[in-house]
Amino acid sequence: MSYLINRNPSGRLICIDALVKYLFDRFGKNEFQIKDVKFDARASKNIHQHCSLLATYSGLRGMRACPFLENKLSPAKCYLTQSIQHDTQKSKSASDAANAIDGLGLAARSGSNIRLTSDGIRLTQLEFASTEWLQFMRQKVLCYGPFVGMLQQAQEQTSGGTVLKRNVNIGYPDPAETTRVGGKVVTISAGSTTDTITRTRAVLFAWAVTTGYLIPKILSPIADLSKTHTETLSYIKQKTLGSQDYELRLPNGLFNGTLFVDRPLSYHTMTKSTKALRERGQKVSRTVTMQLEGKIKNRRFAVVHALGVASQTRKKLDFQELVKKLQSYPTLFVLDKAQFTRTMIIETRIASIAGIPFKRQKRALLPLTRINLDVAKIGAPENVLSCLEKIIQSALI
Amino acid sequence: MIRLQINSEKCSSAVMAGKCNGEECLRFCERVNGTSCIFKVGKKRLTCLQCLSNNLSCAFGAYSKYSSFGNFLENKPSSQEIKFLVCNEDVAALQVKETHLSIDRKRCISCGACFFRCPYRLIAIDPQYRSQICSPTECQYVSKCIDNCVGKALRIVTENQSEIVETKSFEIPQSIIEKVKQFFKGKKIDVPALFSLEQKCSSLEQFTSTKETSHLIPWAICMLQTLCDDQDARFANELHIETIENPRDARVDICAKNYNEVVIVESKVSLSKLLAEDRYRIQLPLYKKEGERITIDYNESANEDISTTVLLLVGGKESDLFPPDHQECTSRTGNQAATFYQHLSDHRIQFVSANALWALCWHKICLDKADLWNYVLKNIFRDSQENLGLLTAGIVKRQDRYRYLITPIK
Repeated sequence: MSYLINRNPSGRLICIDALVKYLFDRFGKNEFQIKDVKFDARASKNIHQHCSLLATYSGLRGMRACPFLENKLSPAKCYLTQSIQHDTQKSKSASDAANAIDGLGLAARSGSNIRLTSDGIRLTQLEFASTEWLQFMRQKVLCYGPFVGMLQQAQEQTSGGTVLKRNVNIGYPDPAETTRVGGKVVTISAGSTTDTITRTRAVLFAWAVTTGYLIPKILSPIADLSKTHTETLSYIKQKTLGSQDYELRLPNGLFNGTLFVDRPLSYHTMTKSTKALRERGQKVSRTVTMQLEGKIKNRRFAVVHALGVASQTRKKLDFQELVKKLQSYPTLFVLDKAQFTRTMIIETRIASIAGIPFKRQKRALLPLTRINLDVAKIGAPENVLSCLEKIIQSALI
Repeated sequence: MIRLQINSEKCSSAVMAGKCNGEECLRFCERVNGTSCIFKVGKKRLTCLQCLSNNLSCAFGAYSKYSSFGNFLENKPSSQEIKFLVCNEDVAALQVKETHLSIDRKRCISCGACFFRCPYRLIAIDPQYRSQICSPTECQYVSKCIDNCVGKALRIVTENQSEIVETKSFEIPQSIIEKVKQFFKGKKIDVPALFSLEQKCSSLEQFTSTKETSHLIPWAICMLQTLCDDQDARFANELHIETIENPRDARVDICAKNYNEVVIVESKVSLSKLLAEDRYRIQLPLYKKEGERITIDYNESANEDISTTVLLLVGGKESDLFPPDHQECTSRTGNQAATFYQHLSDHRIQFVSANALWALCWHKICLDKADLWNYVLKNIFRDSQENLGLLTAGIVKRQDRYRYLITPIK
C-alpha cells in the first residue's frame, strides 16, 4: 500500500537512488526492516558507499559528510535516513524514506518488513546520470497515487503555460465537521494541516522537477530534456526549493483514463496518522477524531473504490446516486446525516491524493486514471467491501 | 606531519615506580569510533593521531542526548555525545587542518567560543576580541593521554623527531581586560562587527539572529560550558520535558547542570521572531512549573538539593531588548518593546541577551571569576524575581507599570 510522503529529504531522487543501491548491496532480495534503512555506523555497508553527494570539508581534516546535515559532525550521518546511533525524529525519516521507495514501486512494504521489488533491483543496475535512469524513473513516479494527483492538479491550474506551486494542494480533505461532546462543539480533525500540505507538495514537486514533468521557470529552458535529472540537480540540491513558477511538461493523453497507478493510497492511509494529531490544547478533538476515524476512512475509500471500479469498467460514477446509497448504511459511512452530501462533496478530493483524479461531467464523475484496486483495498474491512460491492454497480453510468 | 611519541624509558620508569600500571594512557585515550588510538606493537606504543585533532576543545563542542528532563537530572544519557563544530560553517574562521589549526582573523566574528574553550590559552585575541593563532607549530593538539601521563612519557614531535613542539600560552591584552571591567556597569556594550559583504555572518548579533538550531543553540552551549566550573557539568539540547496538563509534551532547547544549579533555556533568535511566534508566554511558565515539579521529585528520591531556573535567551540585536523607555531601545515601533516587557512582568519570565551571555564569559575569563554563573543564576535570577533580565548594561528591573531601570552588577 502507499503512504503519504511528507519529509523533504525524500524529494531528492538521487538520495532515493543511493538508498535503493545500498539496500540491495546489503540485503539483496531478502527482507529487511525500517530500522535497517537507517545509517548504521557499525555496519560494514552503508548508504555513504553509494552516495555521490558526500562533500569533503577541508576545514574538518578533509572529512566527508552529507551536505544536507546542518551539523556535519552529527552522528545522524545521512539526512535522508538519520542513523541508528542518532535519530531525533524517532524513525520518521527512515519510515518516510521507506514509504518513498514503496510508493515508487521500488520496494514492497508490509508493516515494518520491506523487500526490494524487481523494479528496485532494476534501478540498481542503472547509473544515475544515464538517460535510461531518467526514462525508468519517469515511469516509476507515475506509480505513486499522490504524485499523479499532483500532476493532474497542476494541469488544471496551469494558466498561460505556468503552474504556481501554491495553487496545488495535496492533502487530506477537511470537511470541517463538528460533533458534540459533553455539550460542547468539537471539530473533527480530518484534514491535512498547512505545513503537511507544504511538505508533501515540496517532495512531489521535487520528483516532478527531477523527472522533467515540471520545470522551474528560473531553469527554463533546459538544454537537454533527455537529462533533466542531471540538468536540475543543482536546483534539487538546494536546501529549500523556493521557486513558485513552473512550466508543465506532460505527455499527451496522460489523463485520458489509461494511466495505471500501481500504488494508490490504500484504505489504511485514507486518513492522516492519528499520531499526527498534535494540536495543542485539543485533546478532546484528537480523541474524538480517533474514535470516528473508521467512518471517515470508509467514506473516503468508498469514493476511491467507486472511481476505481468505474475506470475499470470504462464507466462514469453517478455521485449523487453513490451518496444516496451510502446514506442507507449510516453505521458505516455517516457521521452527520444532515451534512452528509456536503461532506461527501468535500471528501471527493481524496480521489486526487489517492491517484484517481476525475473530471465532472454534469452529475457524473469521469475518472482520469486507473488504479490498482488490490492495493487500494488493503486494510479495508470485509463488511465495507461487501457493502460497496452492492452499492457501486448501481451508481455506475 | 606531527605525531605522538612515547618515551619507553620514562614509561617503564613510571611503571617500575608504581606510579602507573602501563595502561593509563590507554584509559585516557579519546577513542575514535570505539577504537583506541594508542595500541601496542610489541613494546612500542603507536598512535594513529586521530584523537589529537578529532577532540580539539577549541574546535569541537559536544553535548549529550537525554530522552527527558528527568533522565537529565539522573544523568542517564540516551545516546552517544553529539559533537558539533564550534566555529559554524557559516563563519568558518577556524579550520581543522591535517596537522594544525588555522584561524582566519578576517572571518572571525569575535563570538569567543574557540578562545574560551582552549584550555591552554593557545589562541590569541586581538583588541577587537577576534581570535588568531600565530603559527601552526604553536598550536598544540592536546590530548588527555598526554595530560594524564604520570611519567611524562608522551609528547608531540615532528616526523623527523628532531624537534619537539613547544606550547605557548597567550596573555589576554590589557586593553581587553580594561574593556571587560566596564561590562554590566550601566552602559550598553557594543559587540564587534566585521565590515564584510562576503560573509553570511559579520557579527555576533547577526550570527545569533538566524538559524536557532545551528547558530544560537550550539554557541550558547559553548558559552554555558565556559561559565560552568563543575568538572561533572552536563549539557543537553532538545530535551523532552514531561508535562501533566498538555497533550503534547514540550521540548526545551538547552539544559545545563553546574553543581546544584540547573538552568533550562528557551532560545529565540530575535525579539521580533519571539513576538511573532508568541509561544514563549506559554512555554516558559510551563517549563518553570514542570521543571520545578520534576526537580522536587528528583531531590526527594535522590536526596539532593538541586535548584532549577528557567531563562529565555534572545539573540540578535541587543538594543531591541532594552526597555521601551530606555534611550538605547530600538524596538519601540509597533510597541514591540512595551509588549515584550509587559509579557515578562505578567508571566514572570526572565531573559538574558546573547550579548550578555558573551559578556559574562569575558568577565569570567578576564577577571578570573569563579562560580560566576551560579552567582548569576541564584542572585540575579532565582532569588530576585523582580529582576526581568540581563543585558550587557546590567540587570533590568521593573520600577513601575511603565518604567524600568537598568542597574549595574556589583
